[in-house]
Amino acid sequence: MGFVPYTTLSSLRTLKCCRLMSMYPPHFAEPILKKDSEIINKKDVSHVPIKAAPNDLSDSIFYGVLKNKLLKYITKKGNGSLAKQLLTDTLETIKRTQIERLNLINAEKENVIIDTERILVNAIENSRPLLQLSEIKRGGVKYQVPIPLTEKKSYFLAMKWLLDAAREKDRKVHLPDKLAWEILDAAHGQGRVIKKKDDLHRQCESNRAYAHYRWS
Amino acid sequence: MSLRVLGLNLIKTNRNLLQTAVKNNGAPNAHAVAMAPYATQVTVQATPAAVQKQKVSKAMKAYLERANEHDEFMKTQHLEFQIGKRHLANMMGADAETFTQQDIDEAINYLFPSGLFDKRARPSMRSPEEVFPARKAAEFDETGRPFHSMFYTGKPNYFQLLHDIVTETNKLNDLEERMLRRGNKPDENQKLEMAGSQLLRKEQLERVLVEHIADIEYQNFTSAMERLIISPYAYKSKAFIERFLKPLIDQSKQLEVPKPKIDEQGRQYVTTYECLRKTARADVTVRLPGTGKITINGQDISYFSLEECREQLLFPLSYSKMLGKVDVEANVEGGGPSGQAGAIRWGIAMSLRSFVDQEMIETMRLAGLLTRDYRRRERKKFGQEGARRKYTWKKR
Amino acid sequence: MRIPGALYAARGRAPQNEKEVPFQEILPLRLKNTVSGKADSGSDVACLQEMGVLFACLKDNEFVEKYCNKEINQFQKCYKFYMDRKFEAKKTVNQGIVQPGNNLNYKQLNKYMRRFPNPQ
Repeated sequence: MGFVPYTTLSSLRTLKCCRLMSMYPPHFAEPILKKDSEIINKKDVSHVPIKAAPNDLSDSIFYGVLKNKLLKYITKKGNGSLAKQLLTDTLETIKRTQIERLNLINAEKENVIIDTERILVNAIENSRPLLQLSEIKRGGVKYQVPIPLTEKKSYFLAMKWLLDAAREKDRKVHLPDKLAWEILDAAHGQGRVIKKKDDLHRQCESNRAYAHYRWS
Repeated sequence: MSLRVLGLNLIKTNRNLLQTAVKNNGAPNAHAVAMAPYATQVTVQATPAAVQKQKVSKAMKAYLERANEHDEFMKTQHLEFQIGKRHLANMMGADAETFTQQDIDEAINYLFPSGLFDKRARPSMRSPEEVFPARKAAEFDETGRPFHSMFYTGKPNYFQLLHDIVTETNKLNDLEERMLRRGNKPDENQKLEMAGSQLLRKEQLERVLVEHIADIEYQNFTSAMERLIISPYAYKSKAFIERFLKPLIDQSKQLEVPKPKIDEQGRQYVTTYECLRKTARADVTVRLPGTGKITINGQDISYFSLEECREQLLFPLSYSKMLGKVDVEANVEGGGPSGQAGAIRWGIAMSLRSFVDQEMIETMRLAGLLTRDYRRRERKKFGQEGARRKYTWKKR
Repeated sequence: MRIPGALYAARGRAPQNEKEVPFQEILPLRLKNTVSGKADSGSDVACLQEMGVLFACLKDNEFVEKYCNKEINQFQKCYKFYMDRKFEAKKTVNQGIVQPGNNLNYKQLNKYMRRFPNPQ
């Protein structure tokens, strides 16, 4: 009996999905902005229908994927425009503080970052955890077991911690100010969020003996 | 269609066979009755094998009845369709002989306007072959003996297809081996181009086979076909493969780009009507030599107080690098700010196609600017808090 | 008179008479054509070694991540590779689609053995 290796030709397959909640059929592709379009092969996508661009996508210089994500975490009760206002205020505060710092310092002016986007990215990257503790029950005893995190989840946790820390502080100060402080602190590798992350890592380290308990 | 015709032919030949059989049976009987009252018995004893062949099984009888009924039904339907077509042609003042299906659709649309949302619920008139699904012809002869060796699988056409695919694959494999021994290589120029086509979907395959198949059976079909297609000599059995391929539409050439008109000031302009998003509806005019002026319902861009909405308006303009080169006029009604902005965005993008080159149209399509956003608010469901969210579960 | 047990032990126990105790084939003396999937559902534990290395490095450097970039990268790469493999397996192996190779999943094995069963 001849044996032919099985390879998937994804372009040919019209697999039936379980239950589709989206309005778009499964063969629709996500929109691709110009920057990425150099990478893709135009011949492959010429037959693929594309989903409509969502109304938060744009090619303006103020657009950033991470910023968009953070906006959605700030949003409460669907009030997106308020969230946008808050984030803009936050970035403004950061910029003001940084410029102030730049003017105060006499030497090493290059070390002060004024680009708020870069500060935001630095802050989030710095506060990203590597591991997480999850509770696993074995023989009636609950163990805290360290588990690796996916990239997506670690970004989520970083942003959530930043926001939580900002929301927790003194109620008389507005959120943009508090968030700006937290972001600046995290970008410099200090502050409550970084401490929280380090604490988590320390706990994971002390529970490293249970790491092989992970299952299911 | 071809299968259906083939089926009909089969029915006819079967029936002819049967009729001749009955005649053959009947004629000697008449003679026999004249000669001797129990002649039939004698003939049975004399030529048992021949007569047994001519004996009609119950299944065949039932099938013939059904087929006759269906034929009669289709005949009357056909007649009615022709009469209806004539009437329609008369009403529309056209020639009945050259009245095509498209004319029928237009006439029905004109004479019976319908506001029903679902297009399938609206009145229509189509040829009975389209309306009533094709039926299988007889799969067994008069004695009840099936024609096809895989009759008892219940899905002979499907399994025959699988067998065909495998024979085809084996043929190609043998060919490949022979060519390898000879040191020949497959022709690169003739390589099958699969980017523009897709295997038939399950429903389409079912229609071709006139059989219902399960999901797993469809999966088996696809994997068998894939195995056939990845063979380097697949172009040798191109005709076979193409029977089960459906060409994909080239998305970039799908919609016709309108030609710009000239207004009284000598400027080019294109108007896109019915730009819809959520419940908003807009019509957008883009004029080519312009200064980047945007007019929405007589106001400028400050018609939208939200920053996001303004950004959305400018997205297609800046993306196609036409910002400041064209003027935009839009009339919007209905919906909220984001819906209105989305409607105008789509209108601008669609109108801009007339003023940019083909490559830019393609990049705009890839950015999702030319796709109509059909998403609507999802309804709240009873027994749930909203569209998806369930009530908090409480034991008691 | 009492015979010491050691005497029997030295001679060894006499074999059963096959006529008195006929052999009964209660279970067929043949391997089954299936394998159970119990052992396969196995462990979800991945990248333990990398995790250990990472912990050692972090502890040495007072949990400052910038000194352990290499270890962190290795750990994340390992986990990503593992997750990708798992996702791929979900699509092919777990459905029992047979691939060439000797590392077969129980579903693949079952499919194989259905094609080439033990002789009856």
